[in-house]
This record gives sequence, C-alpha cells and structure tokens, in this order.
Amino acid sequence: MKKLSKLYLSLVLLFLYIPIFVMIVFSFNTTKSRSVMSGFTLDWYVRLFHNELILKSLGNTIIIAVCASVAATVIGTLAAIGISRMGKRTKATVMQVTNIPIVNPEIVTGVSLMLLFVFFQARMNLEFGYITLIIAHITFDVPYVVLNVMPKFRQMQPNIYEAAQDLGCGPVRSFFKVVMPEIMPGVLSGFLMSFTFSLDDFVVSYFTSGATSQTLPITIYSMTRRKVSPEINALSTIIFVIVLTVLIIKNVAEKRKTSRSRLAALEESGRRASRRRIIKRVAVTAVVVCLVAGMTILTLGGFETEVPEELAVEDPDYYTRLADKDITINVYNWGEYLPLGEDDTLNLNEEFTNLTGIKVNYSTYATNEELYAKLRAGAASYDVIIPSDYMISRMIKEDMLLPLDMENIPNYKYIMDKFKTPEYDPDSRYSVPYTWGTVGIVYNSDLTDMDEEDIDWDVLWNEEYADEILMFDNPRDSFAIAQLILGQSLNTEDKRELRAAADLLKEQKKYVQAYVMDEIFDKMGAGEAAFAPYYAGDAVVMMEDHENLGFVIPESGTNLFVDALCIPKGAKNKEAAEMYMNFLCEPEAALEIADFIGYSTPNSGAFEMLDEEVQNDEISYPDDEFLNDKCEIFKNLSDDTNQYMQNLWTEIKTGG
Amino acid sequence: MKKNKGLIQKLTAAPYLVWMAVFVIVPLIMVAYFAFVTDGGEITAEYIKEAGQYGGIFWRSVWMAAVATVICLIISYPVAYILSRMEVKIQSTMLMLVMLPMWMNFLLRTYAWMTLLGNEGVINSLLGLIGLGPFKMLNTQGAVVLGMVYNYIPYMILPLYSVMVKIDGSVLEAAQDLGCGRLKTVVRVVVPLSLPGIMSGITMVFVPAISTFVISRMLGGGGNLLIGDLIEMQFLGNAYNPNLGAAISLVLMVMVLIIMTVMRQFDTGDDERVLL
Repeated sequence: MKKLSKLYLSLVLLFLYIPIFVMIVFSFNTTKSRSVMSGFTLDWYVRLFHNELILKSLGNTIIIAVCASVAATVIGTLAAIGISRMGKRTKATVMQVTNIPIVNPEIVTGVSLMLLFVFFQARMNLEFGYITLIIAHITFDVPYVVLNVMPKFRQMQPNIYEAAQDLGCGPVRSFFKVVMPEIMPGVLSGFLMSFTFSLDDFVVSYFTSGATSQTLPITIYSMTRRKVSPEINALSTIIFVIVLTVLIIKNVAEKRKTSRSRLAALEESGRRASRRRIIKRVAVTAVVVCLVAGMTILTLGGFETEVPEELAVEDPDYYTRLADKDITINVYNWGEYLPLGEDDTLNLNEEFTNLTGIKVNYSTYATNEELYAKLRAGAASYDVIIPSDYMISRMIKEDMLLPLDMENIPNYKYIMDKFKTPEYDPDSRYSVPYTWGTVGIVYNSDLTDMDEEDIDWDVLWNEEYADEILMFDNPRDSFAIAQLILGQSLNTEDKRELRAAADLLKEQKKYVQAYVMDEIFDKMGAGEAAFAPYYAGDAVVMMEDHENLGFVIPESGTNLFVDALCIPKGAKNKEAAEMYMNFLCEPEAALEIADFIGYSTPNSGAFEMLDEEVQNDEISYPDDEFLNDKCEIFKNLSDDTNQYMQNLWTEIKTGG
Repeated sequence: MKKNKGLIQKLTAAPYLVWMAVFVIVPLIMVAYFAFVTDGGEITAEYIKEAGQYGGIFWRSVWMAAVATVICLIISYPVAYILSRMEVKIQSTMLMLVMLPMWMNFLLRTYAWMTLLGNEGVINSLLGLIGLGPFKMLNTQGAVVLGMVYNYIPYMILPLYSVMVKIDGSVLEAAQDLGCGRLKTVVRVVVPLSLPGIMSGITMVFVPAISTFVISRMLGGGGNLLIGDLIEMQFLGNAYNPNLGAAISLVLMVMVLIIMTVMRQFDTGDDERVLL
C-alpha cells in the first residue's frame, strides 16, 4: 500500500513537471526548434538580457503589480475598518459585492472593464495603458485584501481601541499603536496575494492594456501565436530555479523548528480551504523572487552598450526636426513584419530613434480583422498601422484614417507606379504601400510526394492528407480559397455564392488539423503538417530555415495583396508618424525589410538593389502577366456582406 | 459623540465602496446594457437570441469543463489523502512540490504541452522508437481537457488537502476498530468529512475551465472553440460585434452564478460563509 501511494504520487508529480522539464531543456537548445534538441548552448540566456521587448514588458509587469497592490492594500484595509463597524445587513450586502470579482469568470471582468474604459476614453480622454491596467488590477486585487483583513478585526478585542483612547491616545494614534499591529498579518498577506495575482494576470490585462503597456504575460501570449522565443524559456528557467532555491532554503530552515510547532503551523494553514490560502503560502516567496529576478535582469539589461550600425538616409536633416520634442509613437504592425534586431538584422525602430529622437512603441496583431476590432473598440491609440488593401478601403469608408501630408513623405517617390493610386485608395491620400505579395500553398516534401505543378487549391480538401492540413484563421483569406475553387470572384456580394463557399469550408473542417495565422511558422517548421495556405513572403522565410518546405502559387490563380502604411484617426503624433513612414520608405530600410520578412517590395529603390536572382524569383516577383490575368485584389465588401461573411465564419469555426 | 466616531470609521470604507461601484457594478451594468440595447439606442432581445444560436458551444464548454473537473477530482482525491496521511515533516515539502509548477506562467506551460503532444512532438517521437504511433493528440478536444486538468489541478488538490489534514487520525482508527474495512472507512468517514473541500475544489476548477479561451486556442487548434473564445472573438478578434459579445458574457455570468448557488447549498463552512 505504501509503495502504491508512493508510485501514484510520483506519477502525478511527473505529470505536473513534464512541461516544465521540457521548457528547461529547450532553453539550452542551440536552434529555435521546439521538437528537436540539437545541442547545448547558453546563448538564449545571454540574449535574454538584450531582448528589449521581454525586458520592457517585465518592467511594466513589476511596475503595475507594485502600484496596484499598494493601492489595493490601502483601499482594502481602510474598507475593512469601515465594514467591520457596519450593521449585519449592510455588511452582508457589501461582502456580496466584494465577492463579485472573485467568483465572476475573469473574461467577464475583463470585458466589462474594457467597455467601461472605452466609454471613459470617448468622453474623458482616458488612454488605455498604465492607468487602465492599474485600475483593473486594483479592482480584482482589492477584494482579497478586504477578505484577508476582515477576520483580523473579528479576532481583535473590540474594546482595545476604546481603551487606548481612554488612556489618552488620540484616535489616529490609537489606531496606529493598537489596531494596526493586530491587523498587520492580514494586511501583509492581502498585499502579497494582490501582488502575485497582478504579476501573473493575463486575461483581465489582455482586455484592458493599450499600445504602450504590454505586460509579460501578454508578450508571452503574442509569442505563442507565432513562435515562442527560447529566451522566454530561459527567463522561466531562471525564475524556476530561484523559486526552487528559496523554497528549499525555507524548508530546511523550517525543519529546524520543533515538529510540535510545525504541526500547529500546518493545522493552522489547513484550517480553511480556499484559493486564497493556496496563494498565501507561496506569496512571500513570490515577491522576493520576482523583485530579485526583475531587478537583476533590469540591471544586467542596462549594461548593454552596443554601437548601432548606421543606415544611410537621403536627407538626414529632415529627420532631426522633431528631435527635442520627446515624442513616442505607437506602431501597430503584423507579427514578424519588421526587422527588430533578431538574428543579427538591423533593428529599424532603434535606427529610427537614433536618427530622429522619436521613440517607437511597437506591438503586433495577427489579422486585419483583429486590427479593425482593436481600433473600433477604441482600446488603444496608434500612430502607424499597416492594414491590407480591402481593410484600408473599409477604414477609409468608415472614416477611420487620416489623410496623409505627402510633403512630409518625400520618399513616396520610390513607390513603383503600378502601386500608386490603387483601387483601395484611389487618390493615394491615405496609404503608402509597404509590401505586397500573393497567397500560395506551403508544403512539406517529407510528407507528400506530389509534384509541384499538381498542387492546386483542392489539395487542401484532399482526404489523403486529413489532419495534415492547416488553414487560415481569418474569414477573408479562407473564403478566398473556397471561392477560387468554385470559380467565384473573390469580391462577390452574392449571398448564395458566399453560402456555397462556406459549405465548402465546412466540408473541409474534418481534414483541417488547425486554423492558424503566424502559428504556421512554428507548425510547418516542426513538420506538423503537410500543406498550409499562406502568404508568399512568409513562405520564403520558412523555406530559408527549412529545406524540406516548398511553396507553390497555384497556376489557377490567387489573391494579390498590398499592405500599406496608414495613420488611424486619433493618432497623437501625425507628423512623427509620417516621418516614420518616410523612414521605412528609405531604399535601404525597405531593402532591410524585404530581406527580413521575405515579402515583395513596392519600393523601386530597394528593388534595384536586390540580387538579380531575387528580382526574377517567381515566388516573390511573379511576372506582370500572371499578376494581371490570374490574380485578384480584395475589395472592400458592403457592411451587409461583411457581416454575413463574419457570421458564416463563426458558424464554420464553431460548428461540429 | 460616540455615534459620530462610528460614522467616521464607517466612512473609511467609502473609497472602497465608490471604487467597487464604479469599477465592478457599473461595468457589469454596461455589459447588460450592451447586451440589450442596439447602437441606435433601441431595446432588443436580438443579441440574446443570437447568443442562443451558440447553444452548441455553451453545451460543449459546460461538458468539457465538467469532464476536466471530474478528472481533476479523481486524480486529486487520492493525492490529497496520501499527502494528509504522510509524516508531517514530508507533508509541507510535498505540498510545495505540488504548488511549484504554478510559478511558471500558465501560457508557457500550455505551450510546452504543444511541444509534447504534437505529431512530431516529444511523446510521439518516444512512441516512434518502440514502433508505435504517431497518434493525433494535439488539436483535439482531449488535448483541451488535458490543458484544463493540468492548469487547474492544484486548485483541486489544495482545498481537498486542507480539509483532510483536519480529519483526526483517531477517527479513522475508531472506524476501523468498529469493523470498517479500509475502503469502507474512506467511503463512510473520509468522503463525508471532506465534502466542503470537494465542493470548493469543484467550483475553483469549473469556473476558470468553463471560461478559458487561451487553452482551447493553443491546444484545440482553433476548431474546438469554447465560450471564452467566442467572447474574445466578438471584442478583439475576427468577428467584431461587442453587443453579441456582451450578450454571451451575460449568459456565461448567469450560468456561473447558478452553478455557484447550487454548490453553496452543499457548503457547510462556518466562517467561510461570512467570507465567501
């Protein structure tokens, strides 16, 4: 029996520790792969201290957790004093309210706060960011403080406060001299719990953070949507080791105490079953660990003194006129869509800051629809966004973009003529083309013997490859593929045609392994799937890293897209945003971009600098004939059609 | 004079009450408002009806969360019992071992499961060595349930342990002296005494499980959506429609409220009632 229980416990512990073990192992992996261990390195630990994004969000997380938990402790302790004096009925009502944030599903708390903040934003100029995050965190923290302090009042002798006053203390003094020491343990554990909850919160932060204030969990989340950088594994390993060490030390120290007092302590700790108890046990350690880890990392990160490379620009004087204004612009871009110093590329945002003195706050989204939702929800204000063609015309129509001052973007002259005055923005008033490309099919030659010329869209419906097919996780791109097969226009407004396309997509669902966007880098890279439709540029990048991957643009035709730089309404620094756009149009910058993200460039200056081999590459730069005859550009659909497609898409995703 | 003092003391709760009113009550009212009022200001039940169309997802979420909760309970119960009967010295160490994984960000732990479960993942590679598989594990409902069990199981173990450690060993001995077998002791004595722990464990696992949106997205491959995903899609995702999102949130909230009320009927906790 004893043996059996031991075996059982070990199995459960194994279950709990396997993922952590995996994480630690892969933090030492020489490649970014998460399935193959190719060698041992400490590289990721070194890089961690140079990864601005991770360090900055770690800093944000700590700042917000400290502010929120301190405020929550003050408000909550004061509240407990008042509540303990209330009548029975009032008390019960107040406690009901106190419980709401605790029992309510987190996502509802997040959504409801988001609605409130959007309301305030429209009327009182509240900006999503630190303020909203701290308010949200205080809101879910403060009930825990109240619940921790309240019992201390019940345990306290009710008349000692009066006694202190009778003996000559003033009310304030007697509070601090007599009451405070009594309730201190409750206050402290309330504070620690608040702090831990704040540190680890993802859901509520996700709905209430703005452009400027991503916390570490949010950064990790956006990473899991493409590829988790092993640097994060390294960070987790460090935290894990620190926690482990602290716990071991604590444990050894405790062992020295007599078993009698330990038994009492254990009984005390087991007195009440609740989540609060659980958290409390480890909360002290948490604070210590996080502060130590955070501070170490921030200090170490501060030592970085790299001399940045210089990027040649045409007119350096142009870039210096806003230098002394201490401006920060918020840039909202697709994931993996700008070189930021990864794999020894140039960090263009840093270059821009060095050149102009304007700081860049950079965050990413995965689909046009997500961008649209974020802007419409009003949850953040951005200065530069990069939507695609059809989304641009929708935004123009819905008055969501600001007209550009082309005087401020002299490098617009480099944009090739065929990309000027496009249909989605007929007067080129709102957008500057950033990249373009086609959609095709990425395939894994280890998992299929098909010849390239045989691969057409219908392969994504091929039963033989059931569960080895990935599909776009957004309505417009998915419908386009079904429409190409059905021979419809990609811009049809005919509901019967859309219904037919939806039926085809529903039929496909049983063959689809997963609906993905940038997760494709991870999944195709790991050899999880045989076929996946995706954008040519990303395919080029994947093929560079993985020899077994190939890419086909089906002869039968495809979608041609253009992504362009725009400034959304509500941008705070339009001139700086235009300067940023101009910077990205510098031929050398555009070349860096095309090089890194693999997408085709509409910038003639950059195109001329490309190798001849690339200039003639069929994937990146298909000939004009194919582009004109076989490719269709998305147009904006009517609101009605958009809504209809949206509903069909939800139906597809949620059905069977 | 005395009354006055009481008033001042009560007033210290004022900032808190204002805070909770503005940031808890008002936002929830706004959710209800969005769920019932169109952009044009008309009152409508349209959104609730539309939310009703997703009954299948509601049902799936309840079902998957329930399965995860039951599995958590089945795994945790023996763990908690074994822990509570261990030597006191080892107990706290073991307890720490159980809690430690919670220290890692849950997104990263879930991501690690992707590495484990994939077609080319660690488990399938190991199975491949002995000539088995590969099995499709990732992007299934099973994977989502596994993710829920993994992430929320500590919330089941701890409350169970907390009540079981209070059960005096002599009570168990007495039962055995009076002729109960081992199994019967557990069924007749341990289970009834640990009921409050079971109940709080169930709520603590079920509520987060039913409303998660990350686990289903990462492990379910985007084809096994849950209520949480649906809500997220309406606010920040591919199907922008805050009114519908608010309606779904409202339904979810009511569901959780009902479940909590039912569970509370079983709750025998004494001072717990005042607190929770």
